[in-house]
Amino acid sequence: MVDVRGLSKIYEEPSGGVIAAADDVSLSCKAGEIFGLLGPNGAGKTTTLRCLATILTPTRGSATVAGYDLLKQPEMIRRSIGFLSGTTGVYARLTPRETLRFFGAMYGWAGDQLERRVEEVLAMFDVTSYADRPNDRLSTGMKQRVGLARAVVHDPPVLILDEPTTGLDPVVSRTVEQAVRALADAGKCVVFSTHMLWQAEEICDRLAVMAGGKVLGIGTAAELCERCGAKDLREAFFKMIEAAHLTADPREMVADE
Amino acid sequence: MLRLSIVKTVFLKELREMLRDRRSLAVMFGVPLVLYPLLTIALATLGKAKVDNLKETRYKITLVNRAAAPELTKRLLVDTSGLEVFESGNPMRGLLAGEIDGLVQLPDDFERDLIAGKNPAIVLRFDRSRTEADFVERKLNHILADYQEWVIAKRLEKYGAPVGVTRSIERKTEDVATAGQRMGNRLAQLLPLLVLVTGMLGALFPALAATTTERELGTLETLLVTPAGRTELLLAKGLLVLLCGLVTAALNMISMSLVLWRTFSLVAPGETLSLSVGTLALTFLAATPALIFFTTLVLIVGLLARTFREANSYATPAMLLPLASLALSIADVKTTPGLLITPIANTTLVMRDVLRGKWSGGAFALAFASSLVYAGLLLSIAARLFSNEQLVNPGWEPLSLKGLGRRGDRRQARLPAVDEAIALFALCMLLMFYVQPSLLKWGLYVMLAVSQIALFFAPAVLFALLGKWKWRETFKLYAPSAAAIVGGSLLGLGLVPVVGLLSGVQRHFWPADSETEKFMNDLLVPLLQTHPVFTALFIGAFAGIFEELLFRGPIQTALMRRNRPWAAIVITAAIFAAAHLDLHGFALRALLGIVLGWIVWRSGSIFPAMLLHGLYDAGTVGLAAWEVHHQTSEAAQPILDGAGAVRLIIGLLLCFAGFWLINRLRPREPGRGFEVIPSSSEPPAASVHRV
Repeated sequence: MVDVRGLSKIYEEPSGGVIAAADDVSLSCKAGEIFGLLGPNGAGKTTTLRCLATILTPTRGSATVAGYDLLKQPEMIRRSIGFLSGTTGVYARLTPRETLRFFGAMYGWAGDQLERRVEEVLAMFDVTSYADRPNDRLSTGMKQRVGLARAVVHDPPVLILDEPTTGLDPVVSRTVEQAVRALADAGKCVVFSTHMLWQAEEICDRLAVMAGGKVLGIGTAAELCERCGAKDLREAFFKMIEAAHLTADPREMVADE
Repeated sequence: MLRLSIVKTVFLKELREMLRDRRSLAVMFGVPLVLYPLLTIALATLGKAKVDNLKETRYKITLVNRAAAPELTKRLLVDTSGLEVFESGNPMRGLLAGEIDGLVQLPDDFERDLIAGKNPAIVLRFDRSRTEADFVERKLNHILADYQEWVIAKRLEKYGAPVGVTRSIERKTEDVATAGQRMGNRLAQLLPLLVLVTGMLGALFPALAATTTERELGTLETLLVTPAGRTELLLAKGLLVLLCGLVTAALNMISMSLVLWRTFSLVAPGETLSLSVGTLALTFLAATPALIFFTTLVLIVGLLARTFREANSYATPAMLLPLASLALSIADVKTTPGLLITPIANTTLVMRDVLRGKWSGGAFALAFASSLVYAGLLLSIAARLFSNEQLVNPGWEPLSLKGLGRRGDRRQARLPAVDEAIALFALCMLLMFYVQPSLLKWGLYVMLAVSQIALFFAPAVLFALLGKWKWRETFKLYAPSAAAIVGGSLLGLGLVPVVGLLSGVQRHFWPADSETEKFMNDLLVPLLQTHPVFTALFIGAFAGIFEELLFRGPIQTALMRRNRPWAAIVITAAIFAAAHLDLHGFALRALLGIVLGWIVWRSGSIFPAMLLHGLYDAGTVGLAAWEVHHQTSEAAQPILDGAGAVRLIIGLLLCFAGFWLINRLRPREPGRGFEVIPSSSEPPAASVHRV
């Protein structure tokens, strides 16, 4: 469902230099799988996911999402993905129901079909009880549920989730993780980025460890540990970082855990 | 293709949000519908009450040495004087303490000396730090004027002259302005500024909500991953922002007009004033392109700013721009063609003229069209900013005006965009209006050479350098085929008598403006008498080379990228004709422009068009020189005499041959314009010039 080959995103600096926010990234994710992008802040996870969501245009490389070419069929890709990040918000002056109606309409849903789908998604994420309350009067957790509902209202085959639990308390994080697992079990292809090692280990079927824009290793948590001769994912992660001589600050990882 | 259903969905979402935003609603509806009427009516009522009170009050004055002027004293003491003569031990201290409102000091024997013809001085003292001072002085002046007449009559009695000799001339003043024009004149001072400022203010919060706030909240990202195209999103957002700006401006205009009309009626009840719905509607129509301009400007502010606070900082200087309108209103400048194409000034002047009932359709159209051009340019900047991929990620590479170039290929040479070509044309026109008149004093040769090189060619070169345009493709600097050269030459010469005949027919039904014709004759005829050949060649060479480089160069090339070839050729021809600022010659110049555009398209080269243009201009001027030397006046000639008929037949034959030759050339990719020309700097393939 998602197949990335040698994707790079290069930025020019005002001083004249270049920064490779994503550098020759290759990965793949199939239907029903949760594929994790694990890395510290600035690893290139968000850039890679924004490229896959067609918000950014890659400088080099190619990718297909849901069978569509990233460069040639960006609109078809946008129709096939649901996108959510830790920083995406909801419209403060709309209610959850209005939010879902609006996004459903943006994907071409209308009339009774749209109304049925909105009710279904509201129920799926347990939002029905506050569906008519303005979004700006919802708690952070409630807003993130609405965000998830918004991302799947058009029933996309692929979900791109960029650190969706950032800033959430453990209880709400758990709810989001369960929802993501349920969506994958329902056959969705989920690309999920996080900088929390325990979260990656717990919910991702396979992982790509990223730092400095590069993919340092891909596999299940067990495969990555075995490859590095590490007793757990945490140790494997730091070994990969050190081996690549990258400057990721390990303290960030500890703090986030 | 633009999907209106998506535009409508986003627009309605934006509208729903805006209607729930109290801040936007307060600016849009609160100020014009509540604040203006309340404030103005209150101020007017209070002001009128105060003025009435000041007028009706009997002010206290002290008359020092009243025995010196018994008649004046008598006049001051009557009830109708509005003054109360008050005795004061120390009148100066009384005046300073506010116990009296004025002090009149008379010298000894004042009245007797006056009648005797001497010139004794009376001293009036007031405290101008008090509002009452003006009213006391006015009442005293009124009494003194009557008293002066009495004194003069007394003086004349000595000479036995009748009293009537001092009577002033009877004057009867009539105002020929209509009640609507009188009201319009009052509104013209304030309304242009009010409409532009409030339009901007009304658009500001919705614009920031649709851009900066969306980015800060992270909702913009969610919109960009939907199937909606960025143009559709910008259009929906822009329409909402524009609607807010237009509604705010309209409500403010209507409310302020009604309030001022009511206020003036209260303050000056004797004066007839009226408001016309038609005039107000036309005034608003005149302001609409400028409102599009300013609402787009605040949208750009929102796109450039990373935070709401930053947006407010950017918006503050932008909001000062309409103040230029106030300066023009105060200066009450005359409407000139130059000002009619100058941003803000054009809208201000046309709104003023419409309100005063002194507008013309041509001026309105020029101001409207030029404002639309500026608004279009700003819209294209907004579109480029919105399509920039850094829109949601300004932290990496902040959006800036310097990043308006083509995405990803800033270092690569490219063809001009339509908005760049329009901006180039607008700049050339502004330079023509403001610089060319000052060149007239140097004579035709200098004026023509400097305006063609500095005002047409230099801006085109500057744009090409800044925009990294591909020189050869943009200016069509390709070697033409022999057929194109011959065809262009034949057409250039053949069109002289043909267009001359058409011009004669047009003059017969629609004579040219005599002032313009006299101006051109004064400029050209002396040169045709002294150096006919040089003048013809000079005009032909400069106009042929540099006008073609501008119009059939970047302007037509840019239009070809977005339009079908014929549409691009016709639009370029219309722009070319309009640039000559001669309504009488518009149709024929447009016709000539179509032929010139067509020859560039068919031949792929600018040079045959230069040749055609140069030969046509030189031929036309040469013919005029021949007429000058043979003392024939066009007015005295029939439209077509014997020699003219021969010339026409030859001209038609030449044109036919020229068309035949050019028509055999095959443009590359007919129907797609020049966009498909490969990016290499090689000249078009040989097949282009195949005959």
